[in-house]
Amino acid sequence: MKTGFEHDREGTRRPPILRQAQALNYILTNKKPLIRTNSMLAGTTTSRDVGVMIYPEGHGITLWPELKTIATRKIQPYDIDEHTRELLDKKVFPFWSDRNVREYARAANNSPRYQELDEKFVLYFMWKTVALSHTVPDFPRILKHGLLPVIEDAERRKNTVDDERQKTFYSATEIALRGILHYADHLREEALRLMAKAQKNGPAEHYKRFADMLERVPASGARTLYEAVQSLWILWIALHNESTNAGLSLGHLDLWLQPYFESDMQGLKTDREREDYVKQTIELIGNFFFKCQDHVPLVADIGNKLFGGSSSDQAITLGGVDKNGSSAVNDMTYIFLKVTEMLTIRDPNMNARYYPGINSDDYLRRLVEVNMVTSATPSIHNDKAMIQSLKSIQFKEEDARQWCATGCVEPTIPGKHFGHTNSMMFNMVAALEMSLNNGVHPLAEEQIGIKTGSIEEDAFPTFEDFFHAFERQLRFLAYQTIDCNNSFGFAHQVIRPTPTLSSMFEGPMEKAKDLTEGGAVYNTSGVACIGLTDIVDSLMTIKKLVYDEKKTDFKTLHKAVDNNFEDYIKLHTLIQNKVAKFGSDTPEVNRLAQRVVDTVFDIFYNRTNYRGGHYLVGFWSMSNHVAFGTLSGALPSGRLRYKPFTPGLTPENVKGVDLLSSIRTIAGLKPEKMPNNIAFNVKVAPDSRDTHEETVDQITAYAKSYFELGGMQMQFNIVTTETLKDAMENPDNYRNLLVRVSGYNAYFVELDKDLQLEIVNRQQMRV
Amino acid sequence: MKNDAKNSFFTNPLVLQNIMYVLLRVMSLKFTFSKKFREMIKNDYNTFNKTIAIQTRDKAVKLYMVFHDGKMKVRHGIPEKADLTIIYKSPEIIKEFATLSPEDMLNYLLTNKLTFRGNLSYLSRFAYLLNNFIPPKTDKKTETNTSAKAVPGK
Amino acid sequence: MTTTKIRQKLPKEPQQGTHAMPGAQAMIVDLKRNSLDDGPGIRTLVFFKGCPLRCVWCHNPETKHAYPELAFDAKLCISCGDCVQACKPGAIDLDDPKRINRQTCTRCMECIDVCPSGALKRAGRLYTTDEVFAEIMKDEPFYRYSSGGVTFSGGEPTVYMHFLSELSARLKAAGVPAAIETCGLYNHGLFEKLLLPYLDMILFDIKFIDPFMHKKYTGSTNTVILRNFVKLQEKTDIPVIPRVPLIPGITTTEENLVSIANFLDRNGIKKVELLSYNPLWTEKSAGLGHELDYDRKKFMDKGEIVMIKQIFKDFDTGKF
Ligand code: SF4
Ligand code: SF4
Repeated sequence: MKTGFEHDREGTRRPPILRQAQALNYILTNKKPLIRTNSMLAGTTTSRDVGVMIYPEGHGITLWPELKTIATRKIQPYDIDEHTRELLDKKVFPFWSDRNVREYARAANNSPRYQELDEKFVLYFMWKTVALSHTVPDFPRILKHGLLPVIEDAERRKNTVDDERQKTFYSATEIALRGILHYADHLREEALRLMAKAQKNGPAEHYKRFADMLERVPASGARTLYEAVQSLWILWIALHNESTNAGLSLGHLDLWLQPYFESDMQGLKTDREREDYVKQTIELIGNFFFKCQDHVPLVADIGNKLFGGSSSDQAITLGGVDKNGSSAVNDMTYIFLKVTEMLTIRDPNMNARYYPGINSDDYLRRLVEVNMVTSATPSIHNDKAMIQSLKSIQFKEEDARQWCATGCVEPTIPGKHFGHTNSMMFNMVAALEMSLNNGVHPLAEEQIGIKTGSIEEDAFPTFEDFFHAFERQLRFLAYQTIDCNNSFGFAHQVIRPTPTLSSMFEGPMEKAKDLTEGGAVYNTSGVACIGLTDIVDSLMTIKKLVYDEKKTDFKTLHKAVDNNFEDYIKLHTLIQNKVAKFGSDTPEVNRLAQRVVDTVFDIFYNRTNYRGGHYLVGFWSMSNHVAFGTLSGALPSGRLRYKPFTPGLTPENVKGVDLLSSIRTIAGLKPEKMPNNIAFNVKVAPDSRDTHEETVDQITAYAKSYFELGGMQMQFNIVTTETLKDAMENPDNYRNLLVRVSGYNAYFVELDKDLQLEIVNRQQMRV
Repeated sequence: MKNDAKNSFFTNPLVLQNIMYVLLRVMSLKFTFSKKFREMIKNDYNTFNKTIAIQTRDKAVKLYMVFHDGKMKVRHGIPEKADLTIIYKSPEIIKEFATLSPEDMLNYLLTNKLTFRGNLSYLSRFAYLLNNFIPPKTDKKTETNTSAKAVPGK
Repeated sequence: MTTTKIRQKLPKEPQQGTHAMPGAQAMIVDLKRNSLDDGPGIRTLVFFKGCPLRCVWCHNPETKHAYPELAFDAKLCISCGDCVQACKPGAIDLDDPKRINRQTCTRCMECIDVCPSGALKRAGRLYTTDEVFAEIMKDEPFYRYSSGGVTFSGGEPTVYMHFLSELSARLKAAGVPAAIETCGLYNHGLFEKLLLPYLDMILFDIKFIDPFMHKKYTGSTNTVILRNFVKLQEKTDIPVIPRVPLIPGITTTEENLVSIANFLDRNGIKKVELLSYNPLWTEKSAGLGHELDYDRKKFMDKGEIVMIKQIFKDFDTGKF
């Protein structure tokens, strides 16, 4: 399969990785070195204050239809000048029309059915069409020693191997990394230039500092915290020129930066100096946070529809344990938390690990407090459960302990594990819909799945028969996504190898193998399974009403679902009130939920990806539960047509589901079967009559209990008066919003108007 | 359109086929006579030499365009080899063809009213071309079921 | 009321050939989890059914009678008529705004089963201590981490003194703190012997000081109640917190509140809980077919609250 750029301009054969390295070298060497006046860090991701990164070899071309309207569209408009527009339309996009991941894969596999299904957009979403860099590099090594040792290592290895392919790999590493050094050097020159122009004892000092630092990093190891952060920032810019800014993550930064903080501190003599230093550090990290927002992902309208304007999801991980199992909570942890609290921004995406029994109660309490202030971040993970889960699928204990959140919540072992943790968003509900319709997807009106039997022809004498049909559809659909993901993976090997990222991993250098080829130590692919609640509630309805209690027959239920329950009010009411729901901590429902989780885990785990690794499932949804929901029909669970599915792994707000029972339900699911993590959203509106302390105590108690019961992850949404008001106007968006009503918690949208107003007023009295 | 007679007139495949034909012809004339438009399919960097077919699922309507060397030709029938085939679920959508914005196109794609075979990049390109012919839209209702507000749920 | 012996705390050997000896049972309406207002921390509330008083404003009307009742919630009803079919005595009439003819209804509860909406509900069933204990223990970590526990409420929990004794002893052994909300009308001797050793907090209702007013609005005088309250002050170190239900026009007269304040003052008490009026109970009452003697639909207004605050200004009134 040809890309049309196997050769360079002179006609010499040029392997993909070399081409990519040369391109990166060219881009970084010619990148405009910018040092913003107010910034504490030199270098910018793009030439704008906030720029959009366009990767035409990835999903850049999805912007094509909108080139004319992009500046005026409703969601996330981008400024674009006429020159850029012309350039993209006439030169860039045409060149990449056949050379992007999607089209390369299509042509290479002769327009396969799985790709056709992908492009129905309602069955699954394949992230490889955008990025495959949901991972975390080995920053500690590069920060400590710099890039030069890596370049030297590559040179040495190149001279000792005979194999042409291997030689090429090492050359590529060297070329790509040299590009970074060029860029750093140009930044240094820019600093010197600005210094010469600036006043002697003010800004000049500022620029001199940059020049001095850039003299050293990222070529060599950082000596101070400041150098380490500057180095990290340049590496980050470089990586984003290679890999799409979607999900590439920063890692366990508190642990990694602490040594620099400590050694800086040691050099300080007075308390005053130390205090100033801590303040500067907070400012520095704050600056770094802002820098991380100097680029936004390219999101075409289709993306806005599917992801509701997601950010770059550059995850930072804090706390938990280190590789020896001791507490990793340190000074930098609290500095990061302070900055998080002060800035309240969505990106970087903050994730805190909490190891019950090893991390202190004060730490957990502080996490809750930051959640209170920011009303939603950081999300809190149960280190013990996650490490257990990773160990159970053959990660070494020492490695498992180093896990970092990636993108949203998913675990990666930094520098060892290339786990494209969000390789796909998998709509499990589509499989259920197809099992109800003998393989036909009701809204697509097409035979998509296999024929597993028709309800109208009494194909399912028992519930087990139906479950079996569902399982077969699930497997069918999963295999489509797996084939699709693998084909895109192979395309990445040809179109977008990752010489820079590979140089920051253990494995690729030793094996002379790019990450996309399976160079890393661990090579999994991560799946986000969407709609577990909707599925469990639907299956439960079928089991209870059709088979156990025989309150209706399957044909009637099916008709009702097809008709969106219009003219079936009684049945709909019955489902809502008389069937135990997921989240009510009812043993039978819990068992069914675990069974679905086990089933989907097994289906994926037993398949191999294009790098020889396993597929790992997790249960979280970004905002795809909305997109997939709005494209799906009614369900036996009683969910109506076009309504969003339930987010992540969060029980639906329904009868019999209260906060504690849903906490127990989620905590009861086995972490081993959800190694790609979960997202459990808990919304809380603190009672105005409680003090800040009391509220923090209460929420800490929820979190602690949940973790003790074995829950993996929990994210709070602490709700303000504004939200409550919005909830009154748009109840559909707030179905799970809990509020305190005289002694118990209730769902806000279910309360009557007067009571809602009463609570809004109560809420306001707090401030 | 409330009027039944009118409705059936506009959904008659033959009529639609001809409407489509005329619309595409107008488009091709634009390419012939306007330098600005011609530049879009032939310029210093590349020439858009592709065959794009338009059909309904039942093949009642079938047409194709051949872009070659800065010209566009419209033909009836199914081409031997198309770089891109745009398939409409039902003929009714075709009557909106001339006023289709990228957003509509997307909604149709998401709701399976429009499918395609071939290269998605070309579809993007074609959508951009169309978009250049269409005056900016004023207040036309778009599909509501896909515009539900997203609830963050990472 | 059920009478039972106190069971041994040690697990019993199941008897050969028969069921295990039935433990104490109590009529309970509901268990409410995650309550944050009836005692410290996160709590589970157990609503016992049955009460010796008949307060005209009773906020939990479903807990008055010690027998199961049929509750009807018109808001939920979808008028499908299935209940009419199911009711053999013909006690249900869709056109009757009250829906159930309480004279003909035999409380056979057949209609509840067929009702798809939950509009018809059974209020109250017998629970064993095992059952209640297991339900409570599900949330054990939450109590532990929030210094919470269980609150026995009602109704009047002391109606089931032996049941409570057994349950709270088991809870104590399991490290779960227990509080009780009581109207104060109980036999102090039994209370002291059977319950007090296992309790961690007592929330004690004080409604009136004037015995005639008490009789008028609750159906019973308060001589025993006030005496029990004073005795508790002597007999125990655990917190005994007086609670005053604020019922506009009934308990909130200046005269009554001032005499309550004086009474508490005399007994050296500095802390009191004032319970705001909540009008949501009136619908519940109607749904049970109870006649209403008092019907106020509004929450309390600012003026009323200011007046009350003034009277109790020397007390710690917590979050009121
Ligand atoms: S409880 Fe029995 S008698 Fe009473 S209304 Fe229901 S079905 Fe009729
Ligand atoms: S069965 Fe229930 S929902 Fe139907 S009419 Fe009777 S009370 Fe109403």
